[in-house]
Amino acid sequence: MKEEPPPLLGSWSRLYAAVVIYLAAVITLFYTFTRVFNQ
Amino acid sequence: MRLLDWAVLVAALAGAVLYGLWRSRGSNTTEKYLLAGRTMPWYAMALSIMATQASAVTFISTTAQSYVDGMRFVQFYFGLPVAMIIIAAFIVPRFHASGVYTAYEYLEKRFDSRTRALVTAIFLIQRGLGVGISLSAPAIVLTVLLGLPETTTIFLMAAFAVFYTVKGGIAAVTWADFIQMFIMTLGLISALLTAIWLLPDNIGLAGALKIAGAAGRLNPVTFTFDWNDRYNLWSGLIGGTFLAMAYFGCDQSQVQRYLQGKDITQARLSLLFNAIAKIPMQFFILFTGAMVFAFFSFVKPPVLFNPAADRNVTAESRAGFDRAFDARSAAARGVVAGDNGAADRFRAAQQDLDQARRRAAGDKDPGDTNYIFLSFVTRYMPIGIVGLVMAVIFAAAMSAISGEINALATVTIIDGYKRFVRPGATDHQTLTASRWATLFWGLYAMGTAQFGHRMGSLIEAVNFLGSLFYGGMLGVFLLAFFFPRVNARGAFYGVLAGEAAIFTAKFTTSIAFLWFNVLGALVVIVVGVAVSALGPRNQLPSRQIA
Repeated sequence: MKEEPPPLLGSWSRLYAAVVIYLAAVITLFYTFTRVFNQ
Repeated sequence: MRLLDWAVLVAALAGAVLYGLWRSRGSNTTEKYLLAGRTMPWYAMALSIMATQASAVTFISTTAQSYVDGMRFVQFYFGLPVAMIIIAAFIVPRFHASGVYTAYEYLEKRFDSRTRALVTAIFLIQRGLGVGISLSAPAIVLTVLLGLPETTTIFLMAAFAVFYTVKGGIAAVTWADFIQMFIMTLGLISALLTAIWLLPDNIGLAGALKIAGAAGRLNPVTFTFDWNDRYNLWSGLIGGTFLAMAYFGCDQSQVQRYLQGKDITQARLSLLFNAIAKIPMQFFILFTGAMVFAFFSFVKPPVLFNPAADRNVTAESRAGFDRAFDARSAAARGVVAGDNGAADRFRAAQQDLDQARRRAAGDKDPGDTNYIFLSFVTRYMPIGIVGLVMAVIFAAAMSAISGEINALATVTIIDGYKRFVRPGATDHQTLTASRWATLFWGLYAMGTAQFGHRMGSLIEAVNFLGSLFYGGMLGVFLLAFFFPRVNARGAFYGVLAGEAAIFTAKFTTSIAFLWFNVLGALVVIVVGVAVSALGPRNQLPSRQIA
């Protein structure tokens, strides 16, 4: 079974790191949403 | 529903089914029928993974979850991206390299046939119990809409899914999922925009946000830690990671999606797509529920959303509910206008309204939450959009059911029939048996669906059932992948101990069910390692495989 680099970011490690950063950004965004709108 | 709605519904579903059947032509070998010949591209697998998880329950019950409890349920999915990375990095390469049809087949290669049989039995019990719930949710839709007996609606609902799954196998399921996911996305966007558009003119989106916020419905992140609290950041990140690892890494209904990929890259991309897309999707579904809540703050909802139960509400209870609604509506207008203390008055009025609703329901639980979203759709959404939302519910139900019965049949054949009953079966015999097994599980799902409506919030029932069994399953796979010195004996007793720990926790504590996955997996690992270390010295560690 061949293992090739992903089509984005050059390596799987970088792609996984990008997903982790994305998750952190989403949680931060949702936290801000909660602080702004939820009373 | 009017004629245009029916036309939209039929066109959408027929398109998905026919496309799936067309793409599955030539599924005439066991490998093609069960794994699409291992040729599936990543984008088809990605949407199939998403569609399989997004059952009708997702749309019916998640919107209701937000309506009654707020958006904090979205935290349940925070662990999913983490789990997807772990599965993509460590699990996908091993499954693909070993050339297995099922996740449980891998356990025999790594441990022994006894461990494989035990985990296979756990999967069949757990998924077999859940498949009926996936069917009963859309049955509720049809029963509400058409007044047909629930048995009839369950049959009508399942017949299409069973038909194309039996006929075309996983290729039909995957390509039908592909179209169904587009239908779901389009319907979801339409439902959200329509819910906002239907808000009273002087309220608008800004007012709706104030109302939902005052009621505590706009809370996608809650930091408060409590073992008994089902949804907070910590249970989502930790418990959610374990649950997602179990579901996407050990549950055949998902593993089978990416085993059909032509290589590791395709499988990984399909999982990472879900890591990115799933949380926003759930957010918008929950946000739709919050907007429906805001809508019903000004437009009077039925006392009970379940029409059958609502008809039995007494005049006295109805009058009490009307008074409570008028008070809350007045407070809601104060919130929108920014009056001092209006938010507190609104929350107090909301409690009064909830109490009035409980009094009207009496001692019986009318399963009201499951009717909230559909009640809104059928009463207030414009012609055409109703049909589209109904297509979403049906598409979601069909994609979930087809994926589940396809997986149940695959495990039955590969881990049961082909392994223990008839190891020497020819490919043609195995293919025929696979079709019969698919039909059997389809009929079984229809039978058990009769009981689904008794299970309160359906989305929670599904997740709760999974949590009773996923911890043990995940634990043994973690042993297989990350603990090379653990042997078959350790793995077997580890699973038994893990399940015992979960059921003990269930019946003796009140910890939230998301933690069962963590508990079960950890117990399996600890016991598995200990038994392997303390076992007979002459027992060699299990085989190492790719």
